[in-house]
Amino acid sequence: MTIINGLTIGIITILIGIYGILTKRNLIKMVMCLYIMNSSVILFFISLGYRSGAQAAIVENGDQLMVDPLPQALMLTSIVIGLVITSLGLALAIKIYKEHSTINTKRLIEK
Amino acid sequence: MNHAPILIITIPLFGAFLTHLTKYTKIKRGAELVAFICLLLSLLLLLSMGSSILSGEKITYNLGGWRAPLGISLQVDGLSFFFAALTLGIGLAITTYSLGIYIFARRYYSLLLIALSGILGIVLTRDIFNLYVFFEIVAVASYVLISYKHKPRTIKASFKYLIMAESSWVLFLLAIAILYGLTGTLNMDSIAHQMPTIYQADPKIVIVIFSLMLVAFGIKCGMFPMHTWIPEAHSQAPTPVSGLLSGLILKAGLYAMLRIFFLFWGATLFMLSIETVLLYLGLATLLLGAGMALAQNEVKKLLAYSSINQIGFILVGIGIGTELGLTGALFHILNHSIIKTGLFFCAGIIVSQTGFWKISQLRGVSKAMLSMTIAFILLSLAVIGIPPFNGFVSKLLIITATIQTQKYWVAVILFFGILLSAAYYFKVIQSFFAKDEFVTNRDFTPRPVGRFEHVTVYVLVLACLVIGLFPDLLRNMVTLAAKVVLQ
Amino acid sequence: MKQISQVVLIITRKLFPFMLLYGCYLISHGHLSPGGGFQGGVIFGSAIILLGLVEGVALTEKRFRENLLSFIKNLGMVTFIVIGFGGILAGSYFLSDWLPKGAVGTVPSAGQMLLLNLTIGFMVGTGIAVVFYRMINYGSKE
Repeated sequence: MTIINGLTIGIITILIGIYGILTKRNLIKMVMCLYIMNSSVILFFISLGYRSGAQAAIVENGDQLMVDPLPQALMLTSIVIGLVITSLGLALAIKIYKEHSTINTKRLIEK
Repeated sequence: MNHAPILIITIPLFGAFLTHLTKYTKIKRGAELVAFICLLLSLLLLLSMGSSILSGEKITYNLGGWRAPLGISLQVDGLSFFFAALTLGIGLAITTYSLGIYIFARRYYSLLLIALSGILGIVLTRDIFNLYVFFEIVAVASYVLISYKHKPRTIKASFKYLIMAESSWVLFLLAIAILYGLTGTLNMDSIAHQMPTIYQADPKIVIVIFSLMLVAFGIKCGMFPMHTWIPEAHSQAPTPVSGLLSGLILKAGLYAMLRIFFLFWGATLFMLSIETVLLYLGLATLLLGAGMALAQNEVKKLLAYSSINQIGFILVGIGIGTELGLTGALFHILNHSIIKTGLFFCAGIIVSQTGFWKISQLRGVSKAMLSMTIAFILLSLAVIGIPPFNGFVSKLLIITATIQTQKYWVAVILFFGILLSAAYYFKVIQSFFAKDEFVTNRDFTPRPVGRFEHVTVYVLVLACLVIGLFPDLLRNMVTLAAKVVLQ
Repeated sequence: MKQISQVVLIITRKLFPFMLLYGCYLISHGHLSPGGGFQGGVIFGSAIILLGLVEGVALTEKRFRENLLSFIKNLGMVTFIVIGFGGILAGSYFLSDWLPKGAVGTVPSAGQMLLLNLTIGFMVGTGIAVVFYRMINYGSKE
């Protein structure tokens, strides 16, 4: 078992996302960091169901070693939610830019 | 088999998309009609299960016919029934209040129904991933509802809420992933069954899961360090949406805490002393909410900070962890939902009639709008906890529980919190009755306020009074819910 | 605005029906192979988005009107729940299968799964197109 696998990379990228949300002042970048967090949790969850040398879980060719299909099904839902959140966040960011003509949080607080 | 549990969730969801399709029919105000009928149908279905639930039964429903560890199952027990009844009752009040406001179109009712069906889903489901999905549904609907009016400040509040809430849900999803990796199941009962073995194998991972969930639910219910979205979102949202946020969405976070923490760590709770964490955080929330509310000059912002204050009371009640404490906390959840929804509606009527939202501008408003000021005063007496009202009963229960467990210093802080809440509400009442001549805002055209809004406020005031005078009416339901939590 | 290249325009127009076909394939084979309602729907939606980017939104909106798309989106959700109620009417649980099942490995093998995938596909495809229209038209309409 190597150290570099889906689980560790998932955790590291979640931390990158949190760092970005906490430090970035640009609203678009904040939405991007949210999406990074979301996708890294998806990577983490998918990696939980991984088995080396296994096939996709389609029972067409008879019995064989299969990966766990449940995380994949669940993460499909999560991807959809990520899409919704990103589009909503970007729409709000566009709207904020139209109203305040800035997307810098520091300047938004002053207004 | 009884199909009621799934119908309670799907009927409002079905109605949410039906409201858009009323555009193609000739029915006048079809969206409102659909929303009302759907919520009433759900409430009837819920009440049809009432007698069997209150006798201690549990109704389980397997979606698609798949049994519990494999499929998603819904379960109605005392706690779920309590929260579902609360959701539908407050939901009906919010819908009635919105009927008179003409800026709310089909989209509003659709989103409201989606949010309500999401909360019902949170309350009824027994699958932890399903819980996450329902939380996201509620969250997405509430972001759009907060920014419904497209004013500069509302959009900012909505964006702030989006960033905070979504980052917390990612952490909750991470907790679910870790739980799935450890147990191989997503059913809450199965996970709770395996929890002691996990704890014995590695206590650290349990603490990691707990803290991830604490942050997630803490942001949802406005716990102390994560409360910052509440004042903005509550004060900027349209009035009925403020009621929805304070009355139901904060309570959904508390429900998740009650359900998941006590189910998963019910036995190991004392080893980890999770409840002490909740107790301290609750006290911090209480004091911060009260202190910040004292400094506010906007009515709706003051009410938002008051929500944080009352959430602190509820968290202390949960943190005590005895049956009496939980009964008090659950009772206070119910009371606070009714009172705070009523207060937001009252404040909304006053603000929309006068055009002022600052307390200093509203001096002497009682001459112009006597009935609404009286309703505001009665509701604020209820939230402070003055005897004939319902707030008194629940606060008494919580304080009795602290004294029973010999945490006298907690009781002292709770009393201090009540005094502070009296201080900031009396400040508002005093300025409402000031002798100054009251002049309405000249640059502002008052929105006509119909009878629906007034009737909703009066009904909520009456509910406060009735529950305060006859708390035994609901005692059965609340104690059953507390017993379910402690099982 | 700079005129878009003829090559891009013609290839996109020729590619458009094939993208829709691929979307339909993914939706209808969702229960047999990787794919499904959401993925197929996204390809549906991205076909419309591609056309909108290349031809200009005004022209695309004439062909695929926003009203029609959002009508299909709402109808899709309502149909989904109605299919779910079918399980109750057939005497079983919500969303349980009430259609006859075909042979394993063929398209009608999974009963109502195909219908559910179709409704999700239409919902997602039209929904994504509506989101795209709204974001593009935001400044111009208000």
